[in-house]
Amino acid sequence: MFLSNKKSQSAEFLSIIILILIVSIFALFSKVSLLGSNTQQTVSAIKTMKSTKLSLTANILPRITIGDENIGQALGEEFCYGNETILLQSGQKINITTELRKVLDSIYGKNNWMLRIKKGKYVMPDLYFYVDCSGSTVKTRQKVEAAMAKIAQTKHSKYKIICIGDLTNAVGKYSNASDDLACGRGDVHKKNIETDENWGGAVAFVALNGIPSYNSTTKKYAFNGWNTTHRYILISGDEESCSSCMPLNTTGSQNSVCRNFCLNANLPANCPCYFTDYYCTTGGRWVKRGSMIFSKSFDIGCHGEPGNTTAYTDFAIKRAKENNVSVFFIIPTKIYVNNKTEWLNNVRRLCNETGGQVIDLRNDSMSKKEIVMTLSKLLYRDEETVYITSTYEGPQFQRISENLISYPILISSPCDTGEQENALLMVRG
Amino acid sequence: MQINRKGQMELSVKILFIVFVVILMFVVFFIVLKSNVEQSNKSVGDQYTDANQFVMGILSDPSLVEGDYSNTPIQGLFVAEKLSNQAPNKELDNINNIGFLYSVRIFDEVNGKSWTLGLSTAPFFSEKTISFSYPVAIEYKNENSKVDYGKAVVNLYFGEIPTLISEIKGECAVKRKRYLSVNTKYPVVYNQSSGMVNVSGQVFYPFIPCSVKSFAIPKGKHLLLISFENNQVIVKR
Repeated sequence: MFLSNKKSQSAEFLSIIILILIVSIFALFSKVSLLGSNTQQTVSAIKTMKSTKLSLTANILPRITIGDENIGQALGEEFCYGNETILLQSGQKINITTELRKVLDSIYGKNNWMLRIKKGKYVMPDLYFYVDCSGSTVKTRQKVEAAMAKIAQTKHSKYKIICIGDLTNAVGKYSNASDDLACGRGDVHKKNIETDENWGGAVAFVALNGIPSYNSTTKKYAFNGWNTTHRYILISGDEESCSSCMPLNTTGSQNSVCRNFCLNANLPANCPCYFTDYYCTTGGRWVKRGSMIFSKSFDIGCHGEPGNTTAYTDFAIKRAKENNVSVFFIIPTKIYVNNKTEWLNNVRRLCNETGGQVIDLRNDSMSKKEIVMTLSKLLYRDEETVYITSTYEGPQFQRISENLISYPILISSPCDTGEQENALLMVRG
Repeated sequence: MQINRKGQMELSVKILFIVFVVILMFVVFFIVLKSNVEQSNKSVGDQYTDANQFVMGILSDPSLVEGDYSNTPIQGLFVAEKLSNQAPNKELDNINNIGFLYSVRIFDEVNGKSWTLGLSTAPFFSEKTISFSYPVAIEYKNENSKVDYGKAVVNLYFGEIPTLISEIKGECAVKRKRYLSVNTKYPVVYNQSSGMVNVSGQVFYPFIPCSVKSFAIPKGKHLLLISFENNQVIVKR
């Protein structure tokens, strides 16, 4: 009986202990889960407050005015044109970065924020001027070279004059110059031409193959494609594409017709005699009239056989358009063409249809300054990413900052870049 | 002699058991006590959530910021002229501040001007204050729409009296008779004609969306009956 009592007492103790243990564990468990959810709620609410503060900053920052402008406009101008200052009516200049530092330091305190913006900058591409290097273009080359030298000095670019004739053995990334500059377009002549005059073919070759580099060992130009989306060709020529100074079938004593001509004229057998299907009128035009024989003294005005500039221009425009290349044609001080109206129309068409421009130097109509101004249109807009902080450099700030939270600031772009810039505000979380 | 020994052993086991139970009771008591503390923690989370909602309301209130009810208000862009039109020491209409009283001080960091919305001075009867600040901008329509940067310093006051006022505000919507136990350290008087609350000499004008009959609550513990009768809230002891 005593034993049985003892057993039942022990069982009661044990069951009470287990009951209390279960209650305690349950209470502890519910407490821990409550603690977790409450802490989570508080942390989430504080996080919301921080992000509200950040979004508010992004909302008001562009609206804050400095002088006559607001920060949004100022950042937009910096984005487009790289302007870092605002000019007040009083003539006082205000630095945008200084103003941003003042505002953001006041909101977040020193070294607690970073603003990433994109800043515009204008870049002058290296100038490559393709021209036929015959004696007739000397004056033109001198004028253009002087203007390019001025641009290179002020805009930190390089320049080079490249003779079209030197391109004939150039190697292109996508085609060879010997193919593109080969004459034979149109139906006028297919031989005895000077590729040095083929500005249409040169445009077509460069448009496809890009920027030149000269190999002094092989003495050849290599074209390895364009390294920028801003593409242009600066070219000049004073004759028809693929015309020659004189289309020589043969000369002097080597040709029987010529030899007879010279003998009949009581001239030496090797007199400067030219044989051609064309003759030059006193009006300076080449006209086809069967086989003609004349001495060099007849060459009074025509510097080219009637080439087919239109066909070369069409080829050049097609290539330029396909490769987004703008052509700037410099009309030299004097031109030697068969049909001036047609030639000029072709030159204008080449520039207009590719988004380029004609630079007309005939009769010394443009000063060096004007040429510089016109060529300065080749400046193109580029952009760089800039980090503004209280004191630190941007990347350093990022390295030392953990838990950065960020918010975009929409900046209206005043320039015609077709994009809207998002500045990014980052603060320590 | 053997029985005696057994008796001693039983006594020892019982004593050990009692000690064990007492310790367990302590543990349970500790857990319950901690739960109460957690209850308080929970309300901190709620308070911050309410604070967020309240601030969003202030920052987008068309009676304060650029824009009107037909156009989207511009968050955080206060209009100086609108700020100056606000009555002093008075809560803003249409701003939801259930559970707390508030004062919002808006500073123009450029010219040093400032405006106060809500309570003009911090209430001495506040039992807990939550403070934080937000960046804002202030537009001066009369000065060629110049926009200065600034900050809004928000103070939220919690306690027995803010809770009482919130209960009265709530009655305007609920319109249901109920009892409320209060234990106030200061007498509270409400004047219906002026809409003014007087707490031991400190006065302010809460925004209550319906009419409330004048009442006076002396300091101490009271069971209040709050009801909505004849289009007005009535507070009785």
